Amino acid sequence: MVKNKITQNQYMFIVFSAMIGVGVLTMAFDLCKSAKQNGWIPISIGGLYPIFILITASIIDNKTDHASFWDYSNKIYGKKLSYVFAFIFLAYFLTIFAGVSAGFSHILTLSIMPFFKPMTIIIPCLILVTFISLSGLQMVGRISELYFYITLPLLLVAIFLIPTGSITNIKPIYFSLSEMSKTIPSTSYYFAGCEVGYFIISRISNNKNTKKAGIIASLIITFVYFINVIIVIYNLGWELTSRIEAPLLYLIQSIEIPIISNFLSIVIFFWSAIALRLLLIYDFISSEILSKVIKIDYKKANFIILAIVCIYAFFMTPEYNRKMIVNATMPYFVLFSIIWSLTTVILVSVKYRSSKE
Amino acid sequence: MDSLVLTNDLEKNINIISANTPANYNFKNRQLILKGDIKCNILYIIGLSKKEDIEERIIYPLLFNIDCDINKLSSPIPYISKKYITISDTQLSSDINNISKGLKSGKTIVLIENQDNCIICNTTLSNFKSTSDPKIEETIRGSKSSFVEILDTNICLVQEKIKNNNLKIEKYVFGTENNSEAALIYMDNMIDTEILNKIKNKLQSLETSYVPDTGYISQLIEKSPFSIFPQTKTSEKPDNVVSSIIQGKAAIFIDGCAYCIILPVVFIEFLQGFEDYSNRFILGNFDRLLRFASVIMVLTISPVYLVLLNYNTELVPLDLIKIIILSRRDIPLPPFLEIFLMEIIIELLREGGLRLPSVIGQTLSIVGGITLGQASVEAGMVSPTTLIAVTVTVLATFVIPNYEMSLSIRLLRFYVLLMAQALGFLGIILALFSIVAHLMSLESFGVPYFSPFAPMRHKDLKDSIFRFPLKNINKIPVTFKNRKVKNNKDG
Amino acid sequence: MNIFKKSTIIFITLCLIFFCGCEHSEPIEDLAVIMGFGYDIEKKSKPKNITAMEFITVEKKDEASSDYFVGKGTSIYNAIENYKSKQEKPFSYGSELVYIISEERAKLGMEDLAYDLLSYPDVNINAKTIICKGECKDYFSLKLKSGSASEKLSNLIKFENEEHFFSECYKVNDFLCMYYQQGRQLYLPYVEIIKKNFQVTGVAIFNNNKFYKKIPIEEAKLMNILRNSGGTGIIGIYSDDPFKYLEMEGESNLKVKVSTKNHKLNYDISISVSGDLRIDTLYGKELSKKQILKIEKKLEDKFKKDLDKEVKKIQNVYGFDCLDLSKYALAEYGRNSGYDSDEYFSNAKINIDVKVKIESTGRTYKGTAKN
Repeated sequence: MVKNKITQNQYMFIVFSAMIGVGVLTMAFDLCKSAKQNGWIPISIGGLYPIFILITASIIDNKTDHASFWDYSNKIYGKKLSYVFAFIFLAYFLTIFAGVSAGFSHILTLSIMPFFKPMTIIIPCLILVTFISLSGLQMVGRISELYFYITLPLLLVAIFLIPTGSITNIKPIYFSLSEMSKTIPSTSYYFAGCEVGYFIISRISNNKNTKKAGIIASLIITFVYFINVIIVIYNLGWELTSRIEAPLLYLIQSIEIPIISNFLSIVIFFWSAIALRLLLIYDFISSEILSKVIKIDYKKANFIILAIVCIYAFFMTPEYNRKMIVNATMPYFVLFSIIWSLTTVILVSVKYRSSKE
Repeated sequence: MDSLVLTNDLEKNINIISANTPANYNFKNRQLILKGDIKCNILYIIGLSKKEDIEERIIYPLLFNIDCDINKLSSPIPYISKKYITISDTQLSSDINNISKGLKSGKTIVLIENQDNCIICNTTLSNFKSTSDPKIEETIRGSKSSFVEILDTNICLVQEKIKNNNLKIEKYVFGTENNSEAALIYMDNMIDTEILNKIKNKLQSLETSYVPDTGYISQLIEKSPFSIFPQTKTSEKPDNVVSSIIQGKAAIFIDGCAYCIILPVVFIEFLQGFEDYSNRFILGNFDRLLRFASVIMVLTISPVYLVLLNYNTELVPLDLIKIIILSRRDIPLPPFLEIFLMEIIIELLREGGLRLPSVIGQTLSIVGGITLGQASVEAGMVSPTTLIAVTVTVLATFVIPNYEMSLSIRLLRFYVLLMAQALGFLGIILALFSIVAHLMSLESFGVPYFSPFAPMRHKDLKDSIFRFPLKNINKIPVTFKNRKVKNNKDG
Repeated sequence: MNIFKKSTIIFITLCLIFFCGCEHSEPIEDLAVIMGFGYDIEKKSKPKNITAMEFITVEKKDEASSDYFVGKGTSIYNAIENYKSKQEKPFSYGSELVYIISEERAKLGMEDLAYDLLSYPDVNINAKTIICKGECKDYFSLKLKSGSASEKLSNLIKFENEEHFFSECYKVNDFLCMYYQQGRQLYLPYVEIIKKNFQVTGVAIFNNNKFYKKIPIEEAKLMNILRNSGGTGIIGIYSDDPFKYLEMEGESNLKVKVSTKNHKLNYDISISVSGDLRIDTLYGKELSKKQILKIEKKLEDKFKKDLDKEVKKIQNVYGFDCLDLSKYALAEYGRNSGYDSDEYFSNAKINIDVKVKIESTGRTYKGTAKN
């Protein structure tokens, strides 16, 4: 029996964990390429995207009286179209899943495991994650909750670096519309994944205020991203940041703490909890969608997803391949998600209001 | 077995009873003639029943104190039982099963001719054993008595500490061949009804032939018997049991075993000691933190040492690299085998020390440890730094208060060591993640095993890694409470 | 799934991982751990790269010592391959203490060096970087009484900020920041071997990432004050009599404000030095508040004069910004404003304001001078 209920706090933590993966380590690099020393502005504005998605999820949930994704999707769009949308969401989540596994193995090869091949790292992680996700949503919720409290200080580890920077690296602060409009779409990748909220919001057992939960999760993530990017630019300056692929990792290496000789290994040790937690969430969601779409048992779907993602991650293993695939597909997925959520909210309010009357 | 009952014929009754009891040489049948020429038989088993009670309290009054005519009474058996038998615990029965069970536990049967029921008198000879010192749960500040092998004494030890109307003791019989008695003790107003029903269902559906120890019961009623973590807690001290019962748990005792099991339990309890609460706030917290640190140390010291040697040299400070290189020159074994071999030898020393008589055992452990350690370093088989790492791990395992949990954690470190050898740092990460995930998926009779961490129960966190002042701790952990409380719908 | 099937699958997976996972890694005693790395060049018609490195070995029993190797090749990694072919143990990076760049190499260019330090993931970015005179291998081959050359050099630079107002920022991380950030020039300590001992004899300044000149230590002290805060050093007033002088040891603090006037840059530098009075044999008076204020004023005047002279020298003789002042201008007016060019710097007006504060006079309350 697969247990299926989560609390509202766990919903908030699951959505939070689905967005934050290993992107934080490389984020400043992408942003400083076009926005130079003002890279922290687009990421703060990009935080509006998850707020929008989570508020629409909450509205849909309240209006449809906690119906599951399949129920209201079938009702509004009909069976065929809702299968198509489910497939697109499946492809979306699989891209993020494979992308984060490949990115995580790349980070590990850069820092503490330089002599391992990427697939040797990816395959055991995926096997472990598959076995855990066999236990269902309850397990996912508990892991997200526990590891949130343990890893939140880790995400703010950049605060150690405040004394060593200089303000001249950030100034002058100005908002240039052309630069921002080039950079803001690429920030959407870092917030992608909040759509898992659509699939799990109907299973919350103590529903008080899911809007508040969603907004809090988005604000915490935006704050974490903002702090990390601004401290990286504060320390390194935009010229160096746009040359180093994982600037936060580089900066953490420069922290010297008396007892421990290498702070980076400890940070990576705990960061893997963040990465594994995210892989677990996507494994669960993809297996569920696949089992509903192809109509097979949930446990079998887990193993099929394992095989698919191993192959997908293999294509993403040199880092430039991963960047190419992700940059090509992510903007379209995010656009689809925005359009889908807008239309669904409007159609739901129309259809369910008329059915109530 | 159809329920046989006594008849009005004395001879026939004796035959039926003899057929249903072990007909050994120590089964005695004493014939009496009462006033009025009425035949009476006393049936008992030598050795199980008290001779003085039978002679002075049953036979003497029956022979010499009866002063009325029994034949004229309408119901002689109850009259005799109430007026002449001076045993404190008597029962009237006509059921052969009851009678044979009573005989087997040392009771005496009084049969009178022309009556179809009998008196069962409790003359059980209890091998009185005084309470002894605890063997495995030593404490500095706590009572020094522990349970014994006799069920009634154990129940007494619990009952005299909880003088409460709500204390319930239920009796069970386990083992179709040895029929040992067991008791389930709980407090009616504290324990959650769902948990209690689960426990009772499991106990009632227990069918096995031989149950000498509570460990057998524990394995037969657990939900995940293949898991490495115990889902019931063993205790040999009354104060442990009493505090658990007051918190809303149940305890199971079995006759012949000096250890009882407490259920349901959560993981954190195995790492809490009884004197954490009696000691002062800061001292209690320091001890507790030390225990948690020792669990983490046991699981990670050897694997991290192996990873630093084998894979990640740049993580070691330069001065320490020099020391390690000096100490590891010319060692023939690769690091993994070296560490593994030392760990196995220490496990051998430990297990061997348990089995030997205590006089030789202690000396042998000390001598073995010192000689083996010294000799292996001088011979160049093992490096001194490896010896330090392994010894610190062993010391850390001694800090864990519960014996079963320390065994589990000792075994787990081999798993983490193997994963570290296979995959380096990632192996340690995956192993620890899988252990935590396994802990989260376990359940002990409906209670999540890793609570209060997952699902997070904020009120219970006051008594988990830190102990808040006694005023602030909930008397009953929310984990074990009735689940219809508002904010605790699970996750 | 049946528990036995599940556990068999897990067991087989674990066995596969166990036996196929670990490759290409040697235990620590079989590795040569690198402690210091040097970049050098052999000037011929076609310059040839030389790299040298020092690593830990154990020669005598119970004592770890070090040895060094030199490799020659047409490029950095060519040279590395050359000495890898001589060494029987595999090298292990990640614990280096110091990177030495010889003066000749720095004169010709450091683009590939900077790229290597930036992109190779195992480089220890907390290692110190220095410029040396002569060949790198002389530094590694110096036999010292205790410890290895790399450790000695690294400690020398680590505690440099206790003299001559040096800062603590001469690590690889700072090297890369100075190299790549706009408006900054490289500025590294210069080390020589004098009487079989290492000594910091000055500072190397760079123009457009090429070595320009070695500045002697006394002048470097003034440049240090104008460049960074937090260093400790000695300032004083001297007289003709070698035994009558005034000296104080203090920590410096630097603040820069920039403004424009008539298309010219205006830098307002305010420097404050605060510390203890060490020697006062110049004035024999009691060190009351009035006297201290007088001493402070005299120190400020002397110091400001020296600094003004130095700034004029930099603007007129050297002609480029080796004080990193342009970064303030870029921060104020934008990265594309062009205020970091040499022309703007040479024509800029630099005002220096010095404040000296004596916090303690030690145990004495009176200067000792025979009036």
